[in-house]
Amino acid sequence: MIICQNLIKEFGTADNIFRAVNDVSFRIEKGEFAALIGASGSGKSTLMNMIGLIDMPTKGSILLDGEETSPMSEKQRAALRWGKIGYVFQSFYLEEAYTVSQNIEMALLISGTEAPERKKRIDECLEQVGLLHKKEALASSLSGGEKQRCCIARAIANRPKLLLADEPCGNLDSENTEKIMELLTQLNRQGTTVLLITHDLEDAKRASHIITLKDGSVISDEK
Amino acid sequence: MFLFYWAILFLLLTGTIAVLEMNQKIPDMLEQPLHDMYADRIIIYLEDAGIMKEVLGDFSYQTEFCGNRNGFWLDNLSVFQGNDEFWGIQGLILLNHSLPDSSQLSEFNKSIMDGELCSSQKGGLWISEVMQKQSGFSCGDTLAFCLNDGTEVCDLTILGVFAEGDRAPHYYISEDVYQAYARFAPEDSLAITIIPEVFRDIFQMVSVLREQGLEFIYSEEAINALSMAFILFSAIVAVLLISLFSILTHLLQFYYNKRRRFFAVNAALGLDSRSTAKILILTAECLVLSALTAAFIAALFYVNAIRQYTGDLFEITAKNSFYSLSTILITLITVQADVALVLYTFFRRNKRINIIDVIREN
Repeated sequence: MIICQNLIKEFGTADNIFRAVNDVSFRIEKGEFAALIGASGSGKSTLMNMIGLIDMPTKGSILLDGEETSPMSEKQRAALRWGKIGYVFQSFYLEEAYTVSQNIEMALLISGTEAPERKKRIDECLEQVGLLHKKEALASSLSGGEKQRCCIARAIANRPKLLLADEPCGNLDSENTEKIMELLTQLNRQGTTVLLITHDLEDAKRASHIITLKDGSVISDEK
Repeated sequence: MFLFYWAILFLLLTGTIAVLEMNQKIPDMLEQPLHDMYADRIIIYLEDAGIMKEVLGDFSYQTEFCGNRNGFWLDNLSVFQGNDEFWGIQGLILLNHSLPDSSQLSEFNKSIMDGELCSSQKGGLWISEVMQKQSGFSCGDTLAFCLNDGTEVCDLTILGVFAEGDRAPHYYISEDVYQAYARFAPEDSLAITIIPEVFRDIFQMVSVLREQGLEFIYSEEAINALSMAFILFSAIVAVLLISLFSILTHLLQFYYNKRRRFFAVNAALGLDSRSTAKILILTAECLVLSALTAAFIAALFYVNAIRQYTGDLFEITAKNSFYSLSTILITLITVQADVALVLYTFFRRNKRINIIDVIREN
């Protein structure tokens, strides 16, 4: 599903270059539940942004489902983002003034889904994450755990093959953490490849493939 | 904040439309004869009046002359052929103050013989007051010219009698304006409002005509005020449109900054930069068009109020309250051009944001 080859990401000016990702290579198979763990500043979020086609590597290549992503145009990358990738953020990034269903609908509008199909899909996603009863509630009225579930529902709305979860439990208590992790595990069982970014080893243990980063480099890659 | 900017936009556009509309209407208002309001005088607006003829009006009786009928031979006359369609005057102007120039006489004969003026609907004669005194002819009289020793006759009606001075610049009044004057046959006075460039020449004419016993009314203040109004209104419109550009730019930037997270998250969900641009363009257009529609409605009230005021001040009749096509077109085209320029400047200045920037900011 994901093949990263000699990835390098540098920031800064010519006089002052900082290398956030340093020659990283690994492979994640289709249907795997993989975890990328490391301390703060180890480069895991940067790596995830590159895999999610939000950022471009300075050097190296990323193959997504067999497709080389580096030469792709901005439009092609955008199409892949709504077509094959779902993104779950640590800070949720929901539109607080919108309802739960409207937040999910945003993803479906971007992919060009027709109105009848959108309604049906919203209900399916909300049922899957256990938020159907909160369909018309404003996002601002949700608890932390509910917001993250809403975020997951938005991420799976377009039936992505790959789900990227960037510290999804970073702002949640243990009870909600357990619920979210269970949800991700369930999605993985249904066939979605899940790549989890976390600094918590306990969360990472749910994964079948653990990649450990330190100072931008892979120090271990265990399956 | 967004509503505040919209309100500013609305006020700006209202002012622009009202001023533009007034600017379009002033020449029309000045040209319109005031026979409805003032039975004994009209106001004639003379545009770019480089050359005019002084005209007196007196409609009384008919006579005719020809070699075979009662009349006299024209002699000692100079001919000025006034066949300038641009000035709206068609006909012959006979000056009777100098010995005829043989070339002028032959020109006169040629015109008559060609039948050009005789066949023209607007063909006519303008005669000098000296000739009038000598012959007793007046406006409205028809003179028959004999051609080819009397075998052909050409009838020309005297359209006006003009005052001759010391060869000062001559002035024409357009035929249709004159006809409007003639139709209402004012008895006492003639009022003429003109642009300042020819004011001094008209003043001279006015002085000459005053000597003929005709009363003239004019206002230098009104003339200057109207000229200033043109310049001022045009300057106001220009300032308003430049301000519109500045406000729109700020507004769009404000909106974009407020919605950075929205655009960034949606970019992560798959919204490409072209779609983002479409959203921004649509937002700008909705904002401007809504303010413009409201402004067109509001400006109607201002325009009517201004017309009422100027009507009282300059004695001008107010017309119906409909926008002229030129006002609508100028406003729409200029506002759209402004929006296009704003969007172009905006997209050049703002690079595409993504979720990474938002995450780093937070």
